[in-house]
Amino acid sequence: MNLDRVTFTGADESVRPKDLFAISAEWPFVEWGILFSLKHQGGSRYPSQDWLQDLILAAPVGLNLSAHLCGKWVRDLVIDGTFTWNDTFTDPSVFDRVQLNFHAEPHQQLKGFERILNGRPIRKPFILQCDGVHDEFVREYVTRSRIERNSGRVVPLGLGAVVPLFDASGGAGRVPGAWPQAWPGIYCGYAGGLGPENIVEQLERIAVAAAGEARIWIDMERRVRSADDTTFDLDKVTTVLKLVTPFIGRPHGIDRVNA
Amino acid sequence: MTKADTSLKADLDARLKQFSVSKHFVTFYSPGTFLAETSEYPIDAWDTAVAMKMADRVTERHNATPYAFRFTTRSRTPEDLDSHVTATSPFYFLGGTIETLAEVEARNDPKESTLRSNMRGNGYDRVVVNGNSWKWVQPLEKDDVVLDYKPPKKRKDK
Repeated sequence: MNLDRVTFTGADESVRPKDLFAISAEWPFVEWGILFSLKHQGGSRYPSQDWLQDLILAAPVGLNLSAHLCGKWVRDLVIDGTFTWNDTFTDPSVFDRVQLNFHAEPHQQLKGFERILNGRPIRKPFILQCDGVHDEFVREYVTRSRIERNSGRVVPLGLGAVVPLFDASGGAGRVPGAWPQAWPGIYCGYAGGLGPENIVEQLERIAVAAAGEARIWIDMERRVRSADDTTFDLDKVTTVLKLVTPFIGRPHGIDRVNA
Repeated sequence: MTKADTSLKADLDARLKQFSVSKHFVTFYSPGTFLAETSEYPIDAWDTAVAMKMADRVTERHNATPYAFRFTTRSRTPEDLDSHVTATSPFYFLGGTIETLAEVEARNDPKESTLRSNMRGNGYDRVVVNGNSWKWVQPLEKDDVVLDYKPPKKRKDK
């Protein structure tokens, strides 16, 4: 396992953007997952436009940000094939990756996203939740470029990729009974019930599923919030970071144990 | 079916065949934030010289201008409810520099770690780096063509 990124999702009005910058300066492998929902923006976990503006205007070079889209933003993209979040948000270019949160709600039609993927080269990665509902679709698109290229067909995929986030609880924050095996040669994310109280134990388990050179990231949300869910808890964030630092950027897990 | 009916049907089929249509299009690709921006226009034939002239007039959001184009042909027969793409050309890049994985790796630029990783991970041996407007890097496939193209100094909006 080669863990190279730790994503904390749900920074909101309960913290200041500059607090996030300070943490990123100390732990540059941190990525802040910013939640976007047309319905919930400005509420808990979904920062307001003003907060986002502060973040964007002051963001230092090298700050890692991902946009985690929910609700209508996802439906527009996967069903209608219109990337309305990208077309309406002030400055989407500050985000390095976009994650589509399906929340394990079956999207019967993914034709819109399929059309986009077939027609427009990708520049930056799209993260798709493998939540037990959409896994087949995700797997198809993650591996599609290679299959079609080998068959001699032109595939207009760019250098950006479609990558999976294994989140069997569909965003509900539950640790799975078994972590899925990393897909060979694919950058994979692991999420679900990770937090300061279990991160070391779970990373040891993930290292078994993502053995060898597998390059992965982890993502956490619910367990880095206050008990009453009102606050994005930076103490919990820094506790996690201290615990995961020994795992970052070098092979870990069964390979190291065997060595 | 009577003889008259058969004759009528044959006549109808022959007339319907006249309604089979094919039309050519050119799609211009310009740099976008997460995905390439695209604009599609009808074109008389798969003519790269004409397409290059058309590219001079295409401008997308944030002044992004085309780095490549591709032709398609859409067709519809009387049996089809709607037209569909029946032929697609390779990408024609509007200028750009071809770089191999070995060259990118030798440069070892820290800013290109994602590029190196994506090239290795996806098995891309060559990419085209285009700077007609915003920088765009795209894999160069076997049949793709890099054209000798210089973008106009001043552009008109679409």
